[in-house]
Amino acid sequence: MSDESQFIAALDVGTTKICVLAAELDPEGELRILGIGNHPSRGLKKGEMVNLELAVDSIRKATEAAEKTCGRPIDSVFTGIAGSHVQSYNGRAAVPVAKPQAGIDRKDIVAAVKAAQKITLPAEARVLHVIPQDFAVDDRDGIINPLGLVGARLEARVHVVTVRWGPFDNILRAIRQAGLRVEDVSLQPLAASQAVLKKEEQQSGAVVVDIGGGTTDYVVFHGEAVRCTRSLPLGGDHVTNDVAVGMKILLHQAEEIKKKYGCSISGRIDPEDQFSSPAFGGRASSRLSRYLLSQIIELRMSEIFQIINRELDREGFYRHMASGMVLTGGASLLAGCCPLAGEIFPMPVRQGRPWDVEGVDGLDDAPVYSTAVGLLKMARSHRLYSSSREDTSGGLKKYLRGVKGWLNRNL
Amino acid sequence: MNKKDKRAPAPPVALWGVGDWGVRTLDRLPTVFEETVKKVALNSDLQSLVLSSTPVKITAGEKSLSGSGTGGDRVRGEKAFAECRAAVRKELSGSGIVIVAAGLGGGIGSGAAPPLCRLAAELGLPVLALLTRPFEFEGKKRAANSREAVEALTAAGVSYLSFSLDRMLGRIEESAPCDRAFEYCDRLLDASLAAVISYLTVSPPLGGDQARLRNVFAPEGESVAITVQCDHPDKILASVKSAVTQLGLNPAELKSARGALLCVRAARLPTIAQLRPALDVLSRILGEQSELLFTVRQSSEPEDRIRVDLVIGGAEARAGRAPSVPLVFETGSLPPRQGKLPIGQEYRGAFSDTNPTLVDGEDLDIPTFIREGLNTG
Repeated sequence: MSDESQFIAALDVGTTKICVLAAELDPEGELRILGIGNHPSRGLKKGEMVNLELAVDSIRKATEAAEKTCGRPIDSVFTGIAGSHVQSYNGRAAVPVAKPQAGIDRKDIVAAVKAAQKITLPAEARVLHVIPQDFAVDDRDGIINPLGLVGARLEARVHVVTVRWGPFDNILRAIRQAGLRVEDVSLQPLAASQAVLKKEEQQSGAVVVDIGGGTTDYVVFHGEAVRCTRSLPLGGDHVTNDVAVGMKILLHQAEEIKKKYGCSISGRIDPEDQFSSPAFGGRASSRLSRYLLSQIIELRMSEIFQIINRELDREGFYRHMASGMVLTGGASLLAGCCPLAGEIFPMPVRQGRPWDVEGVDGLDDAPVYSTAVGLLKMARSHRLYSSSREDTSGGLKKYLRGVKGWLNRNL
Repeated sequence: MNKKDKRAPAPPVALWGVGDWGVRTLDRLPTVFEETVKKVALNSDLQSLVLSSTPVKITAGEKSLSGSGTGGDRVRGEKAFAECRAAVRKELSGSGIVIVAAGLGGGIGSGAAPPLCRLAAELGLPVLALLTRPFEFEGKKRAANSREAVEALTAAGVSYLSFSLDRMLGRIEESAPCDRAFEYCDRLLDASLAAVISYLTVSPPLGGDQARLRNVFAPEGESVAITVQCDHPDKILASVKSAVTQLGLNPAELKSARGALLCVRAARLPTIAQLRPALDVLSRILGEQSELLFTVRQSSEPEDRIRVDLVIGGAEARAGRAPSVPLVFETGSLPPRQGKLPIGQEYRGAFSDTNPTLVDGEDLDIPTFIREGLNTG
């Protein structure tokens, strides 16, 4: 680790907004946010690029805004990716320990993890993350850190996240065309989890649901390990579209009234309650039913939650969810969102906000920044690992960088 | 090569329409089956035969009835069949599998169908019967005719699908006009027939296994059929769920069924990925001993019109009795019921330029409130 502070930046490319956070990483490994830049996102739908030119422009403007607030140029970023093209699976494999009498060393662990991630991937897929879950040494199960233990057989269980080349490259291309270098790419919901979840919650079991504009992503943790990651191409934009179609108004008006008057539980709204729609162009303002608005929102939000609920139930995760559910992301700010989730999921639900954030007021109270803050935290781990890289054995392949980072952080 | 070899091969399926309903069924058979199905009309009512476009027609009771009907008398129907037995035998010879479509309750349907099936069996031909049982409101005499015919078929060991018209009618809103209600019953029976013929005339493994098909045709119990449409092969799963829900059978009835036949007719054949979830659902709801068959057939219909026919054979339900707790799939994932306007793409709004977000075959980009039927005024 360098004695000097390092400058790092995180870029969250969302479907509704682009956010850039610039921060300082001090020699003690503490993060202090120096600048923030936001710009409405253009050119993305459901987490995937549909117009490169517009996306490049949005990224550039968000970056410029962040540069202005922190007073420093930003030339490289840590970024995230999400979308329905993201797939994940759990793998397991065992290897013989090279020197059983001497105990398990890092090479054994890397070899076991490498073997566990082996699967024939579709031609268009590439591995984004390989996250060790736990290990078994001979017949001893559930070991988080097998380093130094004596045994003849080491089994690793890993969670592997893959992305499709096309959407992945499109994001990278847009960032590069905006004049930025990409230092590393992480799964957005994993990043959001880093921002909103405490280690104890990861240990006892929790699910983080990040409801963004274009996608709803969730990550299941148990025993400090990632057990499942999923991405649904449904999010706040679908709520907005439903409102626009149902109330017969324009999309931007729908977005405005959704935030201002919407509620995810229609039962909390007086059926007689009305509000004035915003006037636009030649259209006069009209009276609209707040109850109807909330019914439309509730149906969509319930549907999203029900899909997740079915998945969690089917995978049998509810047995391991002592810490419950944490909702984050911009769409989780909809009034009544947490109580509605509480009615659907058989576990406690809370709003997740970034924690352990210094430097900018209000950031720790805004779920919309969870992913960007999480990306900064992952960037911190990456930098800390990189600076101690010379201590590790050489010759490691690039795709095992994630594993190495994990080893470095956890062992 | 002998003389026999020079003859054109007989179509694999001989479809016999017996009685008024049976003859009309032949006329409604889609033209796509013309090359693979030999159609034979058998009735005592000369007028019905004259009006039929079926190429082969046999008049039952030509001497005793002189081209008039049996007056609903099953015994007269049986005698009328005896008069034309030689002509029937001649038409049966050289046939492939014989399918007998008959509406039970009337004289010819109830009186001629059982001996026809027996004769075909005597000639060593595989026989399947597709039968309808009369409406309760048609009176006790027709009900008795139907019952006796079913008993005769069962005694002869004929495999049949027996459909209760009362049960079919029970799925239609009472406010529906009479002619549309009866059309609906005909449509369901036509779909069943098309599914069976499709299965028989498609090469394995997508069909053609007569023995397995006979497992679906039950010697007892009631059969039910449904036909639904969707506009994209990704919606086949949702359509099957909708079909099962509309059948109104409870889980126990489904578990006890002899089997199910799923037939998808589309301009472009669906992929395995599009078909498999639907079959998985059927596999889950059927019993361990139930046969599950499926077939796909290319149709000349527009690409956005995919027909999904589902026939369930030998369920334990009684005609006309509504099941206590029918199996209902979540309505949130179902296409609209018949009678409602289909959901159009115009509601995708902001997502009209993106690929559909498909979950269980349903496009979730379409607003939830529309799919759930919320009236927004």
